[in-house]
Amino acid sequence: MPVKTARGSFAWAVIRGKFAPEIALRTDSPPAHVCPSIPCCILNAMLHLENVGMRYGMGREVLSDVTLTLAPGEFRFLTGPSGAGKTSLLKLLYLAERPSRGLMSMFGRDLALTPRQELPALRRRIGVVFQEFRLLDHLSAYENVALPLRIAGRKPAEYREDVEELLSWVGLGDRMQARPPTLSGGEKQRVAIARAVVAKPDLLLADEPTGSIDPDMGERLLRLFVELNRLGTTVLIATHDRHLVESLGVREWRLSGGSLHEVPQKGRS
Amino acid sequence: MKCRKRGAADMAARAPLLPDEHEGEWSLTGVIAVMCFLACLTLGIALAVSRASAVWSEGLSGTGTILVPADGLVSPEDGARAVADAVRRLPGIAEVRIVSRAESDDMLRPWLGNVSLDGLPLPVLVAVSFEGSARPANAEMEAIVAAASPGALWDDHGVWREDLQRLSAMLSAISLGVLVLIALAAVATIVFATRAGLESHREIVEVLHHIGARNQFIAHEFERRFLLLGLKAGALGLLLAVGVLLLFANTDMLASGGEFYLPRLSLAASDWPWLVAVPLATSLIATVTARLTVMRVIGRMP
Repeated sequence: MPVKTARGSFAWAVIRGKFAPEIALRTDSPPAHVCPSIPCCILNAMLHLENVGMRYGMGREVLSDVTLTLAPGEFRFLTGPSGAGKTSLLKLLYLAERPSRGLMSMFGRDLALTPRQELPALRRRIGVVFQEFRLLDHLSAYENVALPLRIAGRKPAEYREDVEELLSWVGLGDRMQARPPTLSGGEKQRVAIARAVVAKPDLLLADEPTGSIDPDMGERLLRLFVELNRLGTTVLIATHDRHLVESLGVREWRLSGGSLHEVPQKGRS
Repeated sequence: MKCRKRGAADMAARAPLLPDEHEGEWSLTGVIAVMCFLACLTLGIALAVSRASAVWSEGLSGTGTILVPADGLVSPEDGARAVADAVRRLPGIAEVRIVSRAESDDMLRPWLGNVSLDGLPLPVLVAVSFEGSARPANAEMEAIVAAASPGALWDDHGVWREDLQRLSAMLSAISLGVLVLIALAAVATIVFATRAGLESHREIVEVLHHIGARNQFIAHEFERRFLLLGLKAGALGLLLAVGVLLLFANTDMLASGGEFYLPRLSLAASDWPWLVAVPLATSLIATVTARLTVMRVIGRMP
């Protein structure tokens, strides 16, 4: 039986055992670093924020002077206590909110200079796992996962097999036609994760992606993120789960009171 | 089994991104159907009145009637013959015809009933038709008629014709105004319905927006919904209006041959496409309004 060729998505690489079974980050990922003053670094960055502030309406600033650079292929955690601004920062990053001040660039483009009609194309390069899942209740699990591909103009015949395989891989092979109201919290979260990764985004942003999932499934999904990262996707995961952060040993940003700090890695000076 | 499962998945993948809303949709369909019904009815009546007015006005122009009263020294029949002879000699006259007693009796019967009119001193009518525009002036006709038979009167139908044209123009203007008002009401209704739909589907719209759907893609979902709704409601309104118009056209509004005096209000084959255009225009208004509303609302999102 001939081996199927790669189709530009990660699922078959993961599902068909082409990934390392143990958790391992890609070795060729560039080191994380903050270099707000070097234009070429900013230009090549996946994401760059400089002195960004954000407030809702006329309220107080929920993010203050946030400066960060996320390099292509990087894997990062974003941690911090509840109310620190993690979700607000992620909203900025998946372009659901605009900064009140500061500079923000993404995929090498200054967002202040990017016309509105070009933003959807940027959003399609981002996979988002929303904290509250945000699945469409009238669509089945299959339809929810296929949504980013449908929006991208792909035909059902092109993605059917991939979506089915991905759903099977996250343990929902027998729940494809189930609608979200009939799914448990953990099942919804897995559908949300499958939807975020199905189009193999350049940037994956996940807000507490393993919060409602049992440890075994959490580890399985984390492996999915790692494999995705190994295949080139930049990953930023916001989480409270220290076990999750420490299991990978990757760099971490910590948000506190709206300010962002780099957390020194253990064993490194 | 697997094929059946895959077929179901394919069908599902093409499912509308907006959920069905039977309750709200039926009330909106009803409102648009009523508007379409009123628009079709207004347009149909306007077209029928305009056509009837044109037919009647055309029949009245280029003709005139001489009335020879029965109160003179000579008999009205002799007076009518003298007048007819005098008028025939004039240039531009196509035909001069003395209306027979039997025809006059038939014209009076609707008002007087089936009673014997023998012995009643009825005036005699002389129907005159002109050819071309080189017709004698009204003053000349009045003088010649009076000279041929003292007491005889010339009527060029001008008063009737002008009244009819004025009435027709007024009805056309009213119809146009009603159509514009109905269109505006339809736009306002659809704007409210679309906004309500957007509000109730805000979560869906936001998710689509955040995962990279273009504004046109989201608007297209609403457009498709309102296009189908407009076509469905428009067809319903058109069917109702056609039923009423056919009933109107096939009912003798005035008993015992009233159409002899009033033109029959009916539509010609060339009028029906205008009526069919109403539901199409309704669907177009619904679609464009929905699109503009959705684009404006999404445009305000970050």
